[in-house]
Amino acid sequence: MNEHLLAATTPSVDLAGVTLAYGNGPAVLKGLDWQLLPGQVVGLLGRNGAGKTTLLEALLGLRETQAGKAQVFGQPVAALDDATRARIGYVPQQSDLFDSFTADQLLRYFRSFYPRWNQAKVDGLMSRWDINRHQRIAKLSGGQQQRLSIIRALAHDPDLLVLDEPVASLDPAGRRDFLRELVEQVIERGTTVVFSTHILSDLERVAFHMAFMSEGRITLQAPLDELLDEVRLLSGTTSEVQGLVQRLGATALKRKPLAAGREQVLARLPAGTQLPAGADGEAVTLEDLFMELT
Amino acid sequence: MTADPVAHSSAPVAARRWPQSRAMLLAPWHWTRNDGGLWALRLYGAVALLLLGAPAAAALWWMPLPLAAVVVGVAIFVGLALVWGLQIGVLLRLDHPRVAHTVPGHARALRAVALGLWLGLVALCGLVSALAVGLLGGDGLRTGLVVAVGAATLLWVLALAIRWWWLWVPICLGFSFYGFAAWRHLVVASWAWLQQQWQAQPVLMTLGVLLLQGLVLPVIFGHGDGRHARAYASRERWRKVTAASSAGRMPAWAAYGLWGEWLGLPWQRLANAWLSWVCRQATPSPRSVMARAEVVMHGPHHWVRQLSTALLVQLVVALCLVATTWQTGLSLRVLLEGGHVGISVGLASMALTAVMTLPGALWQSRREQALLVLLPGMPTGTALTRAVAWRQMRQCLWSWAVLLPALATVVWAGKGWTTLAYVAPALPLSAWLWRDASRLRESGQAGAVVPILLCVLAGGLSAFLTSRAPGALLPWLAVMVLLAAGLLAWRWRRMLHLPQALPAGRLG
Repeated sequence: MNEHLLAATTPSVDLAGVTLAYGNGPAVLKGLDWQLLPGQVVGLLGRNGAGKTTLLEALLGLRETQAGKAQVFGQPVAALDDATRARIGYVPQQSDLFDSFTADQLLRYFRSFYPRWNQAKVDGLMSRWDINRHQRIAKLSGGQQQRLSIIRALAHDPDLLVLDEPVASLDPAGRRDFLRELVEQVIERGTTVVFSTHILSDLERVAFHMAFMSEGRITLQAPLDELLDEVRLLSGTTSEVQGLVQRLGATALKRKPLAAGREQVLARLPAGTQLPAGADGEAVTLEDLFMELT
Repeated sequence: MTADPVAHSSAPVAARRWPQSRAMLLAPWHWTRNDGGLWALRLYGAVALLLLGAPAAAALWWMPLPLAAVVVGVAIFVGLALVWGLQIGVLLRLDHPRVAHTVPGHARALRAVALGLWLGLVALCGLVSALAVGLLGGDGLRTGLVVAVGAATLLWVLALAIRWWWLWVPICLGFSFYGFAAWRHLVVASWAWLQQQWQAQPVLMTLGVLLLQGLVLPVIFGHGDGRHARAYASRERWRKVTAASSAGRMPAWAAYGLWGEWLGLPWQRLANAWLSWVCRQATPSPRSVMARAEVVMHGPHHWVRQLSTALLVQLVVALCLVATTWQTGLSLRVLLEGGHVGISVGLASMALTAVMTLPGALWQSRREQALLVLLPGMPTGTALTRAVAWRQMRQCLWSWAVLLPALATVVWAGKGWTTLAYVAPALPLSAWLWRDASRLRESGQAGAVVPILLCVLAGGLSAFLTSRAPGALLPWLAVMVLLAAGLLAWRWRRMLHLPQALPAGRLG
């Protein structure tokens, strides 16, 4: 098969039936299926403790799964070769790592491992984000540590970028800068990006796809604009709402019984479907979706 | 009638103070219980009881009653002083500057508890000794007053020295320089003057001393100002460093604050130079990759730092020995013979440094390892596990190599065979390094104490046995070498079936 075609059709990340538990505790991931296609930018949403970090670590092979298959660029994550590892960029949740290095030492250290290193990008970001190269990382502020962590992950122009709450310590200006960088430099290159964050406005700016995580599974993944166009909060008596869902061929994402035989259903309508006149259906925001689906 | 949603305590102030004091006095017990360390507290308590109770029981059995009473009294006082030290440490931790600044009556309660406990212990010591001496037919009042003033002073000094650690320096220097005539004369003259004053007015002098000390004691607590905040932060830093050290996690120099950072600067420079070197020489070969990964994996315990420290310590000891021989005219052989127990313990500790520190270093750098394993060139699976194990063992072997000149010198001095016997059990303990790193857990005090305890016990036993039967030394050394080889060979094969070593502790 043509190599270019293979690259385009192989998912960047492919998880199937992944189950993971810590020790004898309950499973954090329960038969989770998830695919990220090349060039997709996916925001991973889930409540605190839902297992987002575990999922991101498992997809990178940093956690052993008890069942299922996990592949990155078609390779099992437990045995990634050097060429594949050179295509991955990872920003972990903690940014206070390598704290006995200076920023400059850290970047030189990582540069020594990668066959490709975009020094111009590093220099540009270091100067734009105003990070003192000769300061020890332990003495940088939380925000600067996080920026440095992002620079390190972007420096080798990865094809898959995994970001675990990358903007948690950044102020609004820092977040805007980071998102601009992500859009201009990374997404434009066709990089697959997955990132978890609780700042929904950031996701709305850059993530074209949303993945909602709940109870150890990805409960829904779809392009954000489609979700906002197609998902409606339907209210009425149970029979009315159920009839409406059936008539429209909609998918009920979540049902909430209300008092006096009434019901509220979060439903995804087929593309291009309009609610009939008189039907009680409200458009939803990303925050509504987060509250209902996670 | 409905209950008032906001409870206002109408109890008198004195009645409210008891629950406060009780909570403060019970804090050491509660904290230990909450940390799951009650077993350790019981263990240390039993050891202390044994160490203090055995001499007291022996004295009561074998010594004449007056002398036995003194031994028992000293044992009881040491026990009380331990409790006092523990309690003061906890009260100082409770003395948080923000709490002192914002919670009404907190600082006052701390001072009251410290003063009350101090007075209670002093009164107990005085009364018990007065009664005991009275029953034995002596001057109970005078003895009680002497003991009270002595106990008060010792407990007072202990509290101050716990608050201001640097007070230990003049205390130690005071004892160390007792050999100097001028200092000795000054101490003796002052002591005689104090005795004279006390003999003249024992009750007044005792009350005066207690009043003075009682007025000074509360200054160990702060007022919730900036000075208090700085002092508290510094104490907390030291406490964390001490806790980490006692659990086998030697902190970096920077953890000791600015002074520590300054003192650690030469080692930092050395480590920086090594980092630059390995990055400049980088190739995709596993050896080069692991040399760079090792810088992060072992962090402050990297071999460059550890070996340079071991060499420096040996150099300083050698210089001290040379200076002492030059000053005193004693031969080096005599000095080494006299200090062979301390030297043996020192050498065994240095031989165990890698074993004691590297698992902790792996645990500490586990989050960084998540990034390391994603780097191109890093071995994976068993290859990585064995590469990590080899790096650790190599560091252990280097530690031994650095010790060899010192060991040879001690052997040459005559008592060296005992030292060799003492150090030898550290060799098979090297196998402790090759544990399943993926299931590593944060090392607690017990985990850190086990190898040291084993080494001390085995070393002491082997030194004792070989001193009784010197001919057994060589077979004993051979057994230790074979045991080490066997254990290491077993662990090396076992690694084939272990999960990948890094990131460490992920399966623990």
